[in-house]
Amino acid sequence: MNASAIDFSELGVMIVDDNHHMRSLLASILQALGIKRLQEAADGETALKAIGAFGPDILITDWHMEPMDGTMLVKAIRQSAVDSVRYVPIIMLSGHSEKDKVRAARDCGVNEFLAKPVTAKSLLARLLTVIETPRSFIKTEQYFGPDRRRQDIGPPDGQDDRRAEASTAPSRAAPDAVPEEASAG
Amino acid sequence: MKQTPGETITPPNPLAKAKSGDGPVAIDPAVLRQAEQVVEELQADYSTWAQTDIDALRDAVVAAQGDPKALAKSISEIYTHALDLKGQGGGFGYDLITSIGDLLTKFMEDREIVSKRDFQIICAHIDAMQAVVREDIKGDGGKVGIDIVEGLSELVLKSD
Repeated sequence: MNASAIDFSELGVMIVDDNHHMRSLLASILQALGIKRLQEAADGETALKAIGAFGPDILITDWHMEPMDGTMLVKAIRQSAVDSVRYVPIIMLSGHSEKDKVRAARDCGVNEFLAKPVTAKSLLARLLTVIETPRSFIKTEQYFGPDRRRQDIGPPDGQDDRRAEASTAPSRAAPDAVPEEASAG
Repeated sequence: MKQTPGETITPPNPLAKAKSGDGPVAIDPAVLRQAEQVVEELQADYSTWAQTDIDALRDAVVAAQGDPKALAKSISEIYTHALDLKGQGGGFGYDLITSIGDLLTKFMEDREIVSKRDFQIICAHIDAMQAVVREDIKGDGGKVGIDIVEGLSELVLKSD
C-alpha cells in the first residue's frame, strides 16, 4: 500500500487558549506545518461566537480557562444545531495529565487529549490521529460526541466496556516519526 | 446506571480534503524539523514570558496576604499561573520550570485556606522558578534540578 500525504494548507484550525504565549506557540507550530487558515480566541465565549463564521476543520482548546472552561466549550459545541460546528474534531490541551482529567475530557466530547507541555512532535501526532482516524459520533441520552471505544482508560462509570468489540477493528498505522502518546481518544 | 446503546452517526469528514492516498501517512521529517526549529526560535522569548507569569504569581501572593476577603480569587490566580508555567516550560526546553510548576499546582489544588507556612512554601516554589529563569537553566537542570525538586517536595511533605 502506498503512503498517504497530508496537505496541511487545506485545513483551518481554531486555537482557544486564555494565555497568549500559548496561543503564539501553537500558532507558530501550526504555521510551520503549513496551516494557513488560523483563528485564535482567548476564551470559550469568543470561540463560540466566531466558530460558525470561521468554520474550523479542527479546534484546539485549552481546558483551564475562565469564565467558560474547555469542557464547557466542548459541550456547547457538541450541542450546536449546525452540523459543521457540532461535529468539528476537537483536541483538548491541559496542564493536567491525571487519568480522571483525561477521562473527563473524553466524556465531554473531545476527540483527542494532549497533556502540556506541547511540543511540535506531540501536536503533530494528535493532528495526524484526528486526520487518519475520523470517528463516528455516538448519541445517547447521556452523551453526544466521538465514539469513545478507541480508548485505553476504561469506560465511564456505570457504562459498558465496548473496547473488546473495538479491539477486533483494524488498528491505524502510526507514522514512525511520530509515536503515539497518552490520548483520550 | 447502564447506558443504552445509542445511535451511531457517521458525520461528514472535513479532514479528508487534506489527505491523499489510502496508505499510512508518511510525514516528511523536514516538516517536523521546521516546526521544531520554530519552537527553538521562540525559546529566546520564553524567559520574558515566564517572568510575566512569575511576577503575576508574586502579585497574587501579595494580594492573598493583604486581603483575606480576596483569598479565594488569589488562590485561583496562583493556581492558574503555576499551571501556565507548568504547561509551557518543557515546551520551550525548560523542563525544570514544568517540574516546579507541577509541584506548585499539586500543592495549590483544592486549597481553600493558606497558612503562614503555606505562603512560605508557595514563595519557595516561586523563588526556585525565578532562579531557573535567572540562571537560564534548561532541561531538567541535572544535579541542581534534582536538588531543587527534592528540596521543594520535602518542604511540602513536612508541611502535612
